[in-house]
Amino acid sequence: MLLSINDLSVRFATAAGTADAVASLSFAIEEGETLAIVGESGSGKSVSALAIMGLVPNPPGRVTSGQIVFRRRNGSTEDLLRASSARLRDIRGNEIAMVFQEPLAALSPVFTIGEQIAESLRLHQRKSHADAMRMAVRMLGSLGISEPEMRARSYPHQISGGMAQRVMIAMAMACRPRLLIADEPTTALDVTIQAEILSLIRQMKEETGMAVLFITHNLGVVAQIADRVAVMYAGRLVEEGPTKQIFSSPRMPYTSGLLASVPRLVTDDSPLVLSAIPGEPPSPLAHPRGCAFHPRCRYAVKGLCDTTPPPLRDLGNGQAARCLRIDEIVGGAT
Amino acid sequence: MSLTWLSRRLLLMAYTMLVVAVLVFAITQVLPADAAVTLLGQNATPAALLALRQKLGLTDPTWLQFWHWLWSLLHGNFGTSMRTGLPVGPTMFAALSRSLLLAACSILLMLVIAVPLGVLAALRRGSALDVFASLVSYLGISVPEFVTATFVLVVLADRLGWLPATGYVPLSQHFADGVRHLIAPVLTISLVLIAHVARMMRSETIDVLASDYVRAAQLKGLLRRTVLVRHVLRNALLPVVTVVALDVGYLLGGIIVVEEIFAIPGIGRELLIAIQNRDLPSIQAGALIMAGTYAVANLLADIAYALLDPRLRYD
Ligand SMILES: Nc1ncnc2c1ncn2[C@@H]1O[C@H](COP(=O)(O)OP(=O)(O)OP(=O)(O)O)[C@@H](O)[C@H]1O
Ligand SMILES: [Mg+2]
Repeated sequence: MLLSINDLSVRFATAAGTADAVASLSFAIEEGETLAIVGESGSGKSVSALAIMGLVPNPPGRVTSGQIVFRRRNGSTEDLLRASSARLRDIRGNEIAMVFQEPLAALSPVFTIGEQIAESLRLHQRKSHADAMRMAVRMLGSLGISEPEMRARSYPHQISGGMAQRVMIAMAMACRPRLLIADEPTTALDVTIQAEILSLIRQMKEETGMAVLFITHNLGVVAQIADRVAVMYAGRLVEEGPTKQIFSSPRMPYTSGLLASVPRLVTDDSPLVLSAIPGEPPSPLAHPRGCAFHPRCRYAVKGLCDTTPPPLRDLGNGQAARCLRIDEIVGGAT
Repeated sequence: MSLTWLSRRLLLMAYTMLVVAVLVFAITQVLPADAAVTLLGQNATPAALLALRQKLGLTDPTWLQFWHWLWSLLHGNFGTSMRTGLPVGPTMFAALSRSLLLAACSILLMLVIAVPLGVLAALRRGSALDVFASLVSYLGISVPEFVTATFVLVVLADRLGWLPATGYVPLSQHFADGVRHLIAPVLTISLVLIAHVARMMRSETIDVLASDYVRAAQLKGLLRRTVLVRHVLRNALLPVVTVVALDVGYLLGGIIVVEEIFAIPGIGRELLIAIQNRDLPSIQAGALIMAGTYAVANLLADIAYALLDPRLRYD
């Protein structure tokens, strides 16, 4: 086990009230594994990732419960929610790295790309400026960027979004992390670039054996890259399992709805069309009682789904789902 | 920042100054001031007035007068004061140097106070310090400097007796005394600057703190201090450069009031005296030098901006 999240809850204090962004979330990532987290906007995917990095914006956010246990390179384990800030700094950028949705916004406008990649090498590997810059150039080259020396001397405003995402990946990979968190790394990019970035992440994974936590809306991407899938709804994990199994026999009606709304061609890049799931995701300020999905679920029954919160049920074969009627609607959830 | 950019920028500045010269000349032409009358007095005979006008070139066509004036300006000759009979240029530049000292001290004090104040207020939003910072900002922006000046005078000079009330002592003559005379006017001027810049700094810092690139910097595992200095401050300072440059324009106006109140013989006071005495060459020189100072300040700000922000390195 590389990372195991246990009972994680994150709350935001907003003007309108308390938002339960993440509620009692548990999942784990094995060494070298790619886990995809899918779910509609606002389901708590990014907040979970930020909690792992210890960067939930506070205020207004606060981690209210849980453990995030990470196994370090040297074999020791660390609860990231309780580790000292010095330990956390030692892990960040070094053993766990992250890339975001808007790569251009994630680069400081006043430093060259080379300097920004070199920064973590100088920090974690105590390289000299010149050495770190040389390594940054090599890194850019290995990511298929032409004229890497020249690129290293460019500023962020001089490059495209696709190039910026490569740079972000170079930045994240600089210290060969054991876990890469990619929060919708391709959503802001156009189709052909998306495919290139995906294969780049796969290539990095093969070279270094790192694990990837891949956050996305796009089930097409999930099919291409993930070993396992975790589905989030209203801050909770509602279903998880091996990718093949989730795609062929989803057991939670929400997962089925997501899958039904995927365009036929799973390699397509088009964003998730949610026509198959009627209604809106619930407001994090007031999650529905019982099963959070029941107002939108066509299998929901009165007196059960709207009163009893469903437990996450282990279905064997590594699959688990959160549905009270799981036995009744087996095979019918399409 | 390339040489072409710089030369184009200098050319633009020269052009601006030419336009300013035309304007200054045109305005002083329509002023109800007759140099001959100013020099000879109200009771001079018409013949004497005419003779003097001819000698001064005032009977020449306007364009020729302008040309002569511009030509001497280009040779560093600002004319002779009609009040003192001394060359205007040296008087005005000496006055300017005193004003610049005042302005430089005020900007320095502002930077030392406003930048940390704004950053700390942003880091501790809602704290007592933040409330204090916004109070200072509102005061500084809403209270005109003659009120601030009066307040500073009454409290620091009158009540507490810590400072001399007014006047100016050159630093070269008596350093400590010179500094004591500078404190009250510098405080007055910098309050407004602090107000502007602290507010700007606070909102910029808040924006930058929420940016993805600061998050990315934290994700590298950098020390909080390093993130703040290298990434937050470096980016939040950019717009402040512009504010400071714009504030130089304010300073040139505000300094007239402050110099008058504190009796500092700077360019503002010199210009005011020139206007009161209808001393045309001094008025012209004062206005031109002020405009020139503003233009140079803007140029320096542009250069600083280009050095600090790679997005503006025109090539
Ligand atoms: N800075 C914040 N202030 C207040 N609430 C926040 C903040 N960030 C997140 N939240 C809350 O957390 C919830 C989950 O947000 P999160 O960003 O994790 O969603 P997401 O699943 O990543 O969505 P998306 O697919 O749009 O990125 C939001 O609905 C919101 O209520
Ligand atoms: Mg998100």
